[in-house]
Amino acid sequence: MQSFLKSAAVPAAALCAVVGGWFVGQMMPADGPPVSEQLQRYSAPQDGVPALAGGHVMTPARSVDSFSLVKHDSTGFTEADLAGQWTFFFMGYTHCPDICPITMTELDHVHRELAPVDTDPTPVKTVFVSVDPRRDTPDRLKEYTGYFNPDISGVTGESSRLEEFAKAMRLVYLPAPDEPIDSNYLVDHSAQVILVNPKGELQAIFSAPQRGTVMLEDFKQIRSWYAENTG
Amino acid sequence: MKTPLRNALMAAALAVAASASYADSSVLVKGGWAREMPPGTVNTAAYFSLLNHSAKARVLIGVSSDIAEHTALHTTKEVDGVMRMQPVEQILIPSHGMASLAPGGDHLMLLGLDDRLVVGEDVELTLEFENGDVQRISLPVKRGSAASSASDSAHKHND
Repeated sequence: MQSFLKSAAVPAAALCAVVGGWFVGQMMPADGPPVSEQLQRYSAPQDGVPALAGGHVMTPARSVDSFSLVKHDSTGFTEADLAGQWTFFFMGYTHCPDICPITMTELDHVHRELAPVDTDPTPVKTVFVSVDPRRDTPDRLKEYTGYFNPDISGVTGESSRLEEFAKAMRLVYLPAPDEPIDSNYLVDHSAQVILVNPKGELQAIFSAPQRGTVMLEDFKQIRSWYAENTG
Repeated sequence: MKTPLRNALMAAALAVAASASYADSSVLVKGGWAREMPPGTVNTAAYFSLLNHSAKARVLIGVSSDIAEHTALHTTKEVDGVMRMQPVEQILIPSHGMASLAPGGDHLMLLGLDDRLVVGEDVELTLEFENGDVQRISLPVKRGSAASSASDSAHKHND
């Protein structure tokens, strides 16, 4: 009996997570206005703003507070590095067995489909932000991101730096355990993918489940709209 | 004329008998795969669908593997914008029904592998059921997220 209940509860919970998580998940900032206020702001239909299949466009785009992380080649990575390119961000960790490699594969799909046919000169990059600096050394990040796509790079930093970054991107951040009981510990991480425009501003949030085909079409819409509206 | 017809009928009857006895004793595993591991990593996940053609519900309570330090049935859930991994005690396969372990949902977590899994290899797993049955299966190692199917897999079978 218990097992039947459990099996019924799982799909129901999954459905709630998808439907409820759609709004609550993507609108939950590290700080800033309450969720209800943000919802109102984002969900109000605005002329010409693309309605995305997998997320929301932020209008107006939000400035990104300063942050300081370390790239996979051990050089610094700050908000200044975002100018002049489109940047997708995803926070995860390389020991993550399920959702991180899925999301990385979906982001690879965006790059792989776009790169060979793209006529837009503005580069499109993905940055994987590891929330597990203890295990994800720059070398490991390099190997990991390179496996998925050369346009994906990896960054990380101390917990306080990661918190600063997450706040700047309006993402939820939960630190990895301080003293893990075994080497195979798991880490909770934000579910969203963030898109930063070539001015270095927060432009869109993509909600889980991430799908490359959807993200690609949404991205093309955002980029056209951005080109028309920024001149 | 008469003999081929009899043979055909006999073959059909045998086929029915065979499938019936098979369905009673075993759960059919379909569309399974384990994810190729990016270099430098030691954890991965495996996915498969379990089809139960019998009249009795079956319950998967565990999976073991020689290649991993630790295996566990897990599920990935988004809670308030955060991806959390939670253990799943058991997976019910209803009578004449199925259960799916798929990317982004229920999955078999394989932790602490000594050797990196790469495409071309197979992974041997032992499924353990509540009624005491054990069933050995072999899954191919594949790359990716089942081609943008993290959420599609609930609607269609992988391969």
